[in-house]
Amino acid sequence: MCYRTSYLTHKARHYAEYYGSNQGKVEELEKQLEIFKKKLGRAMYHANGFDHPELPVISNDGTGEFQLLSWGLIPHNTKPGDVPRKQKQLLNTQSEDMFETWSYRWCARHQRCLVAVDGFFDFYYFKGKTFPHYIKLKDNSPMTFAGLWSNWVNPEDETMQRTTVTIVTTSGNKTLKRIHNNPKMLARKHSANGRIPVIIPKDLESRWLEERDYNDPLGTTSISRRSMSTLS
Amino acid sequence: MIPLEQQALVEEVCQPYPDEEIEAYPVPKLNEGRESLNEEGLLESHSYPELQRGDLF
Repeated sequence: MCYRTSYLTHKARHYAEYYGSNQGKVEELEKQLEIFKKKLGRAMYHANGFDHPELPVISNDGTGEFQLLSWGLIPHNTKPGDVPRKQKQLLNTQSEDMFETWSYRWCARHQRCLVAVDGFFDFYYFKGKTFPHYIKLKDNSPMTFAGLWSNWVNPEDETMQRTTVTIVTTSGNKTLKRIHNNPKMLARKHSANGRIPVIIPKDLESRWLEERDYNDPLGTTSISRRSMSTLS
Repeated sequence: MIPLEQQALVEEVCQPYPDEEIEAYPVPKLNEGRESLNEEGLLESHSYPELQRGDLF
């Protein structure tokens, strides 16, 4: 489970150097992130998912550039009246059934992304009280979550569009299992060991973003990247 | 049943991150006694008298 996170609390260069593949890209990402920081107006030391803040995301559109996407997935076929409820429901999606769940399996197959944060918050339950904990990487490098994105167009007014993102979760590791101990949370599906966002190591980022032809029995044929506009 | 390729992606990428590369520590309450939830100090370690370190780690 991940409903609260922190991001863009360091200098833009910190993230640009991590995600940029060459010097030119580093410079480009740094400028882009500076603009995002100005747009957000502050470093996001604490962002509550239920407020649907805009998270910095690198999608699989092949550009390697950041976009700010609203946290909480709105699947493309969501009825306008269901948007607020659906977005709150889909702050997270479980990796175990992301390819099978009807409302976002398309996103799992075709619209994966990287979400760049600094860390996240979880709550330790002790004697009826909860105590917030912050979880980050020991080396202070950016933490990259696996995400799915979606572009929703209001069928009643096509000028209204929202591009959104959800954070993919998996079973908790030893540390998170100790912290994420609220009995109510552990009783949920796939949650016996607690839940943790899928944190993608550097060497697996491209694997997460690549799109393959899933009808290819060998799974070796990459198909072309699609732009966000053509998928919407 | 999901195709093998999709299953492989989940098994390869969607694993819990290694414990030894992660650190976790208690932080101040997110909504008590703070003028702003976006203060830098929010991310600093905090001790709770009622929560002994041994209770968790």
